[in-house]
Amino acid sequence: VAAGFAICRTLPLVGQAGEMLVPVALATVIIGLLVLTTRTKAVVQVVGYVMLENGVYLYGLIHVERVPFLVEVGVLLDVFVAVFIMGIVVFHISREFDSLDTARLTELTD
Amino acid sequence: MLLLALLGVPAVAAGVAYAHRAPGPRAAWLGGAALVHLALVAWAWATRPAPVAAGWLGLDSLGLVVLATVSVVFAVVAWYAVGYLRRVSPRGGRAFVSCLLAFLTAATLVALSHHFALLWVGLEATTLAVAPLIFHRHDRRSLEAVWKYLVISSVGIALALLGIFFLASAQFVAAGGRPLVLEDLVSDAARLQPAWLKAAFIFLLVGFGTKMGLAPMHTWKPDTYGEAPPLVGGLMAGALTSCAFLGLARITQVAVAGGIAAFARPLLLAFGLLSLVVAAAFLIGQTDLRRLLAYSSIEHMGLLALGLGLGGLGTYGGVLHMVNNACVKGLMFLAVGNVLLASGERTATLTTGALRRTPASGLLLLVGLFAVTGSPPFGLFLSEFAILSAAFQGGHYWVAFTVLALLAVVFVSVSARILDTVYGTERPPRLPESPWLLAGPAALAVVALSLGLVIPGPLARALADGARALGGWGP
Repeated sequence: VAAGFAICRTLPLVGQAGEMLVPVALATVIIGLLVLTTRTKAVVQVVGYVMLENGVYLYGLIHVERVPFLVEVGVLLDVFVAVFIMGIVVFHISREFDSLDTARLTELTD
Repeated sequence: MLLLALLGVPAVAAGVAYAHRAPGPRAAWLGGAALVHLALVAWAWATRPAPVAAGWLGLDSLGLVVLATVSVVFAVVAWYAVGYLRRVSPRGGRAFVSCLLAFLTAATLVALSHHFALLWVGLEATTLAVAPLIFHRHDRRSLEAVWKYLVISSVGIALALLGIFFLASAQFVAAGGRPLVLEDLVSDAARLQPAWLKAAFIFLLVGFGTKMGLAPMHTWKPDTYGEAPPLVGGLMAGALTSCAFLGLARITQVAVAGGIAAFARPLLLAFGLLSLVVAAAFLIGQTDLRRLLAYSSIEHMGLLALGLGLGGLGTYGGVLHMVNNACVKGLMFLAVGNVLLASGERTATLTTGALRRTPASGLLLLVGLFAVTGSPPFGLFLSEFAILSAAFQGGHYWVAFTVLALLAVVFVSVSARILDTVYGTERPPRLPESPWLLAGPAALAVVALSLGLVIPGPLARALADGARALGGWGP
């Protein structure tokens, strides 16, 4: 979070809407990345991905009046399908390995 | 209308193919849609239709080259899939054909879109369309591969979306014009806010670089290519990477026009060189054929990034390299697939004696070896030569010498493994080969060879035009 605020100081801000929105969005992205990389449970990794997308989308709110509706719908649909497919894969992982620990996914290495 | 038809044909075919229960009509829809798409692309090349949908969908030279590449590779893969699905019936066969066609729709959207957010939607859709194809075997190894692929690609592409919003900020702060439309970004580029533009470039380089498989974001690639069915591997290495390269080329176009070329080019050079180093290191002693091809793909992606980063003749070489790489990678994956089908092995670690067991596929593999390592007279030699001469012209001598040394390492290790596969010591019995499975890779071999001998006029003009758009020039 602190890093998010710190980064924002260095960027020329948009002005009106960007006072709190930009730092909060960047902080959400960073927390999402942290959750995604430090947890080994598959479901929690999906949660991390959703947090990351949330952060990106929050940032996108700045441009909400400039990004057309159709594109927003396309982005949302893509994210929805992504989470849907991840859900299917998580289901198969839990059935095949009897756990959701991605640390067990170690068969493919060089 | 033509542009919308390009998108609509594969989308409709995907839906109809899913409704059929018997495999015969599904294969017919797959082959038919691929051929109609190819014909439409040829028509679009001849007529150059005007942009539609408020300039969001358009066809410039760069997009045209990528679209044609994708369409040719897909037609070959579809032809191959018809024969492949007769031999092997993957679980969820209905979804298999539909996902292939959905991929074609998404890839077409990427090639046509002149709006960055639309480009993102297309790229993310290609990622998602391919995921069920990797996962068709439903065992532990393919689960691991698809999980790594999904997580790494999704995060990369999410960062790219952030980069696109940054680009919108860069435009919003200073310049006017239609938001995120490529032409307006390029024409108003001088008024883009440089700090936001730099941030956007970094995020988009990482995001699209993940999709291309540039080191150090390449880690999903060997696992995915190693587990996916060979025709899906060929489609990913041939068509998916070309789409991601188009994304990277578009943002480079904006960056060069926006006057931050001095900031962007060293970054591209660094990622390209790192990819070459990583690929060369992991290629030494690699035993699995498909993982070998994955690292070879990383090497070629590195060369593409180098081409963009060097500028000048390098951009021409880069775009030409993309076309050649797509053909050759399709050829290699399909030939390896034939060899694997004949030997009945799951992983390609021990296969030998291919030339005796399956003479035609063995021969194709041998041709592919010379093509993929950039030997003359194949097309890859020309494009690698163009990239290297750009390095010398630009005074990047150490870059050029490093690339030459790494290419030599790659040549030795790839040849060692492939020659082992083709000749080998065993004397297995000969097996019959299906013409369905041979026609596709043979056609790609002919294309790769003829691109090395003569580049047809329309393609040469389109390539030079694309290179000029990227701030370079053609010969």
